[in-house]
Amino acid sequence: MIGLIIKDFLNLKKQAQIISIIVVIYMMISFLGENVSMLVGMIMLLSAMLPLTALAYDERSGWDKFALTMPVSRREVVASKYTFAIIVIGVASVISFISMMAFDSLDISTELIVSAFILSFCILYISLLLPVAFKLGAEKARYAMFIVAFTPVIVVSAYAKINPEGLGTNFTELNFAMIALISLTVAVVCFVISYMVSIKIYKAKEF
Amino acid sequence: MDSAIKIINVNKKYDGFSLTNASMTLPKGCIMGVIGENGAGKSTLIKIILDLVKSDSGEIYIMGHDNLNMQGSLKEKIGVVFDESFFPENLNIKQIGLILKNIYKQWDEEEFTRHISKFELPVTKPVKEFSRGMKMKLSFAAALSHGAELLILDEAASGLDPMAREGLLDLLSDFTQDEKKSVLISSHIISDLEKVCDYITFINKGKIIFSEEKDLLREKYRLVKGDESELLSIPGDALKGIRRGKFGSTALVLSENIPKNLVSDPADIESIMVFHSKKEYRI
Repeated sequence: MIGLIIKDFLNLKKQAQIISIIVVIYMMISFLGENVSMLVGMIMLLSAMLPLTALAYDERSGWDKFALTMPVSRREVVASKYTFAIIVIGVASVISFISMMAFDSLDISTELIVSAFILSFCILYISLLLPVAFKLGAEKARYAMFIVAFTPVIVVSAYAKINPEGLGTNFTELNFAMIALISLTVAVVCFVISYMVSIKIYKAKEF
Repeated sequence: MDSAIKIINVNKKYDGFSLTNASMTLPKGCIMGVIGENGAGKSTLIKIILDLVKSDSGEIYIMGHDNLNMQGSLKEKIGVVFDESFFPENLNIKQIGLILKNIYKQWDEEEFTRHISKFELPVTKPVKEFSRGMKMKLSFAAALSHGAELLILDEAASGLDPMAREGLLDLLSDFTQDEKKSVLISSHIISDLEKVCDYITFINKGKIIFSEEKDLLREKYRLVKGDESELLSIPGDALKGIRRGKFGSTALVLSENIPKNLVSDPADIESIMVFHSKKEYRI
């Protein structure tokens, strides 16, 4: 399985370079503007997209058909993509956290809570997209990506419209740290379920 | 005798195509050629053997093991080359070597390097800049560098130029010098297979018409030339097909049933195949 993960990293070397440049530019903007939220959002979104890009590359070269003739099981092919996602999102989280510490003036506990929220969003995002990509292909999953990315925005703004005071009151009453922890737990559970669903999808696939 | 591949009554139905009751055995140490027109079912059969496609019924054993959920240790011993290369386009041979080294436990880096330099492939150029022939050579280098005991080649020779094809056939003969090692090769180019194969499996419209030792096949049938009326006097079971020409007709006949008064020539694999597939030539 290590070979498969190495393959994804080698495949995405160019993307990584481009992302690094974008991140550096946003870092400079954040530094000047003393606002890090754009930077963090950017880093996390780009990193969550990488596993999908890796899948798109595999599809284009027909890699899977060949990979499955090697000492690699179908389960391992799926596992390699999820492991790749964990590594990429993990690295992105660390970079995000460090940038927040460096450029933002908030205290460390707030930063941690915000990080936890963003991290859970990323995990949820990838949990939804990977099974779609395994089922329908990475290209179609890209459309799903936009829907998934904008759904929370639509839901929250719709909720705010219907119940203008609701949002504020609901959240201040509860402990933020608690919500962060719950959302992270939910995200991790979704990730595990997503992994199992993907295996089921991939095992039934024909090449 | 131990078999490298044993296929028993495999069926697979698609919309508009079905593979029916496919059975054959590839003994260890032999080369089996699977011949058939494009779309006859060669690739489907190979995909089923490799568990890339599930059959509807039937059993397949690879070196004695069920082909469903093959263990890694069994897959280590199988080298596969398809009609095109499936390596990531942006990567070069050096990077691909690194990936394969981390996939195959038995990966032999020296062997790989040896093949790559023998095939004169560039090590740092991305695969997408390779010609079709170069890509095929890379696939062969990979398949031969992890101690495989069974090579499965699906139309793998078709993309090569005649010189390279010749080289490949020599390579296969060398490979099976070791009697543990076997090759299953599919192609629509009969002359290639006739040279190297020990066994020939002929597949037509999803049915295996015959799967036999090449030398036995050649002994079994002969070509008989003569008037159509003469040829039609041959008993029905022995007559495998007639082809009408301007200057008389030719028939494929079981050697033992040839009437004494008719002259016969040895049959080549191509004729045996053509007569079997064009049965409608018979009245």
